[in-house]
Amino acid sequence: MLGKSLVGVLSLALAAAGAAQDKGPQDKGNDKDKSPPKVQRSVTSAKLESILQDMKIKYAKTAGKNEGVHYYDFERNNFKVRLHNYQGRDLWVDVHFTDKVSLDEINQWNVRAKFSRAVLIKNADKQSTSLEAQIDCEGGVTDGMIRQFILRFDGEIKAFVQFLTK
Amino acid sequence: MRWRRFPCSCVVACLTAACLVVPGARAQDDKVFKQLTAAETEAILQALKIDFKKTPAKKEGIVYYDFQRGGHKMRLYWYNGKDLMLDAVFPGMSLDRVNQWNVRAKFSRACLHRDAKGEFTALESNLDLAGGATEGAVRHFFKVFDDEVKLFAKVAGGGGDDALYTRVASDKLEAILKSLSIDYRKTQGKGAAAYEFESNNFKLRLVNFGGEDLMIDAQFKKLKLDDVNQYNLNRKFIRCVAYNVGGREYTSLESNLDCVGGVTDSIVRNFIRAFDIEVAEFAKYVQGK
Repeated sequence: MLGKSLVGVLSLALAAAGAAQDKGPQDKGNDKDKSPPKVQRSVTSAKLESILQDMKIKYAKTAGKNEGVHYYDFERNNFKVRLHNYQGRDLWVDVHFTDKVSLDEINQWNVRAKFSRAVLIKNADKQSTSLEAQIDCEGGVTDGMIRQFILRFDGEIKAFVQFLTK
Repeated sequence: MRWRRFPCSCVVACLTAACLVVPGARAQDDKVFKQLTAAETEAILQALKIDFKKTPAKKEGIVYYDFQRGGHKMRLYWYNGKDLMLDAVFPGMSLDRVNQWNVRAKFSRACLHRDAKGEFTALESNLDLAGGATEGAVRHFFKVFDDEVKLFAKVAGGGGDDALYTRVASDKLEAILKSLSIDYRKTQGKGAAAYEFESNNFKLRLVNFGGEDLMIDAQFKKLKLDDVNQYNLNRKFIRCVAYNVGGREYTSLESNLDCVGGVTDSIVRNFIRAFDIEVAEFAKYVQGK
């Protein structure tokens, strides 16, 4: 397990560095593109869709209630994932689980997580768990960062499922 | 009269400025004045080797001086000689990021403007002469603004530091911390290094995990798990976590930056600075619990 506590962080660092490599596939960039990577501070729908297409991700796109908000629903390793684009300013990816998970377990996941967080969502008598991650695009993102954001989340889902079924 | 008036001829003006303002600057540096004529202002600009274009404003008593410095377009506003303002224009930014700058800035302020052409961000600084100023203070006003513009350009993304790297070396990260004027205490572990520092009176820790990812966190008092979850439900870019380390219970606010996909200096800088806002917001939340 990858610990992050103040006490343990440095002693676990070596393990962490190693574990980080195990945590998910690493994006090595698009070999086809030889031009210098461009830093963007806003991710257009066209840009995001071209990245998804390059990654061979088939999505269903829907518009949000607010202008400039779009959702991309797709499957990754049999999990239904939604990628949200909030006016190009930030991207949000999540997957919802209906398994009964306690707040204590959710926190346990968050203790070990680096690139996601788990959140308990209560709606009336229904309860679900969202595994989610966000990336702030206004500080600057590259295509590689966006690809890595999606790929990394695949690893987070896999690890979260293992965590739930431990 | 505080300063000698100059003939209109540019050549003579430049020579006069060079003779009377620059060498004499040291002598005049400490002479206090409460108003600066347009000619005196222009003499200072010439002494600073600033090639300006002068435009009188529609409103009487206001003059604009447009020039370039350090690759940035700047304007000096002359308000009846009683106060001066410098500004530089950058692309539009979110109000959060504008505010983020203003939280930390001492000698400038950022403002988001909208006009017919769209949004833009202005970095501004004012010097009030009415209370008394010296030529040295005016020169310093320009120098400090140059520094502010350089720093702001990095935040706004115009700093020309968009070289991409997929591994954040220690010296790279330390140079970034230095550029943000962050004094840190470093602890080196095996494969990771922690940098502890204070920001806005909060103790923060930045951990570099072998250059592949960065984590920044701050610790707060223990919260109920319901409250921890509620915070995660309502925020982006952070993770709120309850810890119990050897019986010491606390809440941590954390954020991670995955560097494997490629990052730049400005992305790393933004990651560090954006956390200031998150910490300030979370502190308010914690206080109410």
